[in-house]
Amino acid sequence: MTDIGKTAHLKQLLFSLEKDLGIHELGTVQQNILYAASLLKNRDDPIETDDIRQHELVASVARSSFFNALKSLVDAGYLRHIDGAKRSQYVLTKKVQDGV
Amino acid sequence: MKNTKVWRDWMLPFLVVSAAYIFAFVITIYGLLPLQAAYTPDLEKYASLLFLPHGVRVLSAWLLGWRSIPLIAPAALYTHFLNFGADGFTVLGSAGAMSSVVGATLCFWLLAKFGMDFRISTGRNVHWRDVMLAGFFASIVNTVGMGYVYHHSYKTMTSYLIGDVSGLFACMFVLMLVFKMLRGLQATKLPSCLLTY
Repeated sequence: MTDIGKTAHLKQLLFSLEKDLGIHELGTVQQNILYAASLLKNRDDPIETDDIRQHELVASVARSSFFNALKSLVDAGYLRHIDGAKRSQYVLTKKVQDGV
Repeated sequence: MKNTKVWRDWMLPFLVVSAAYIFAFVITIYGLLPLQAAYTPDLEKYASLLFLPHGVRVLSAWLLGWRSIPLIAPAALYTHFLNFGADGFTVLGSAGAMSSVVGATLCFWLLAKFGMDFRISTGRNVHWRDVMLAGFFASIVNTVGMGYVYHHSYKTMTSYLIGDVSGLFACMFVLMLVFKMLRGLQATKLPSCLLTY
């Protein structure tokens, strides 16, 4: 496993602690990205970043804030990046179905 | 290329793990133990109720697997020497010290054999309570090892167990706060050009 992979697992582990202690919170932008992704989701098909970005729930969010929030959602295990796709794509993880 | 691999796989982890272990030990022995002694004078002076190095041991074992044993052994043996002096290096004393080094990795491996594979190499998402469970069993190995070697009382062994488990939780809690703080800093300071998606 790569160093990045290990760091991601460590972050995920610590995030589970954060969540159980009740000090984890999803910001408005993060929540809206998840809502947009849920609305855009078509069965198990991946969702393209551009589609989320253009959704009206997040269209007004600054680019840097959007990508920061997107990254934190991946780190927190709500979204999973699809490797190898021609365009940047994500899928919602089971964690989203369990409730945000 | 080969040197880079040795540096990345062995030297860097060795430096990080050793520094973290010795730092955790110093905080525990010189910071927390004197405080504890003031409130629990009847406990042995070395039986910390918040033993942070156990957190370093368990997290290293989780992150590095079997490699954590040789990587953490020098720091663990050094701190064993600080605790018990040269007398701690009889055959039995050394075995007791090594039980704490090997225990965490061994427990992750044993739990995997019983269908609870929390090792990072599986690539599965692991919950913090899974690591706490492995850390608890590792503490039992450590406590029994040290208890056998030094004929500790049940009270001292119970202190070890409490100290190890609370130390592991404290380590994860501190790391969690650090990562949370870093997330906050990244969200406010990193320019968008650094984000590549």
